[in-house]
Amino acid sequence: MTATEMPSAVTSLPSGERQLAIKLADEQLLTGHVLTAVSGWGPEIEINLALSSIGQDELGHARMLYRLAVGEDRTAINDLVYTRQAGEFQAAPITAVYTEDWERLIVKEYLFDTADRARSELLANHPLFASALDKMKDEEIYHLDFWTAWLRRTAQGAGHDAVQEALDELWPLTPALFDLPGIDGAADAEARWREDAHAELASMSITPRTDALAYDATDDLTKILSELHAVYDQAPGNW
Amino acid sequence: MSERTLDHVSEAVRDRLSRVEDPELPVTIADLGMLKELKVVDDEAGRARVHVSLVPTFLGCPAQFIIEASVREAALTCPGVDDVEVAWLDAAAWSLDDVTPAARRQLADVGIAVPNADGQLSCPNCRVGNVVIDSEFGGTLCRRLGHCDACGDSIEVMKAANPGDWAPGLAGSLPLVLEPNGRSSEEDSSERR
Repeated sequence: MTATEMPSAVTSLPSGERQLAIKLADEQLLTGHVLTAVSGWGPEIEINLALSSIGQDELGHARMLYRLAVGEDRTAINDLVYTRQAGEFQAAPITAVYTEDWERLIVKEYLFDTADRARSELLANHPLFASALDKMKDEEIYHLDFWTAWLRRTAQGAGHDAVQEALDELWPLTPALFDLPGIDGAADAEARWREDAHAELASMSITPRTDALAYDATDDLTKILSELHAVYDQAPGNW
Repeated sequence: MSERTLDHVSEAVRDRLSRVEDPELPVTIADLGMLKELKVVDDEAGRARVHVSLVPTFLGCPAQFIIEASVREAALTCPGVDDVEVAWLDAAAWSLDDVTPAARRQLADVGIAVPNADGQLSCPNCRVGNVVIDSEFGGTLCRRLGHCDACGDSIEVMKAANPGDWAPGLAGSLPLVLEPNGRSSEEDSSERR
């Protein structure tokens, strides 16, 4: 489909909704890139299969959300993914966290995926997002199961202190996940999510704190974009 | 283009597209339940325009690009077809229920089990034992890993894109045992932990 044949629903998309779709897509893209990049570092093949599968799923979710934003126009999607600089990405910084550290990775994914589920529920009746997020939410059941089980297993074992340290530096980055301009009820959804996360983490003897120094993901975003853009910069085209 | 000619072209396109194979599995995309809609219209210049709607199994499946190219190429080989438009129905649900009996047999022949509605997941190799799931993630996004409790062979199992409908309340168990009758088998999974 060419740009001129874009469905009218897309061309007439209010700019607020388009920006929100791009923000949600950016977050899936960064998360997916990191997971596919670290697959291979896991201790066993099943973990690596999980990391690469979950990463691929997230990249697919990014593609779907970019399609919601700009339609089937692949040049427009390429421009969004491959030509924007760090300052133009709208993603919550936690999604850019690029880490070789297992505890930090599972804490990041647990926080992002549970918050993302809360956002999907918030947008369950939204005319633009509802049906697409419904399919995405189904796939995410596998991801949540994996991250939650590994977080629990790690936190209740020798990794307890490392999980607490990772949470200390990542928890302060979570409010941006609920920065959803134009969406009613975002603050309430965030409050409910925090309450649920507190309860689940408490069951693992982990406590969210707000007084710790937040992780700075600025360099991580630069690293992701340099990897993501490397091939395109040398051979522009439709990837 | 006369109505009769258009009918002939439509039939040829339908036949040709029904034979397009999935690049990752030895079955057709039609038998996997991915071919959702097919419309052939007269472009009023004496040529036919084909509209195909496809359902992705999993949204991130990288085979989508190859499938789309194969569909396009297949339709264009039919005489009279001038233009092909392929649309992906991202939001449409894909379920294991959409996999045809023919595809189930073909997949079993290469050692891939497909759960069915009655909850049975028998070993496609020895056909005696039951498949136990070892990991929810496999070699492709639509597969997971298991083994047979009788012959011990490693078995790949097709994965539901709608696990919530197939096994609600599975969160927290690892590895998972999904049963399509709406419950997860906690006992089995805790025994293996």
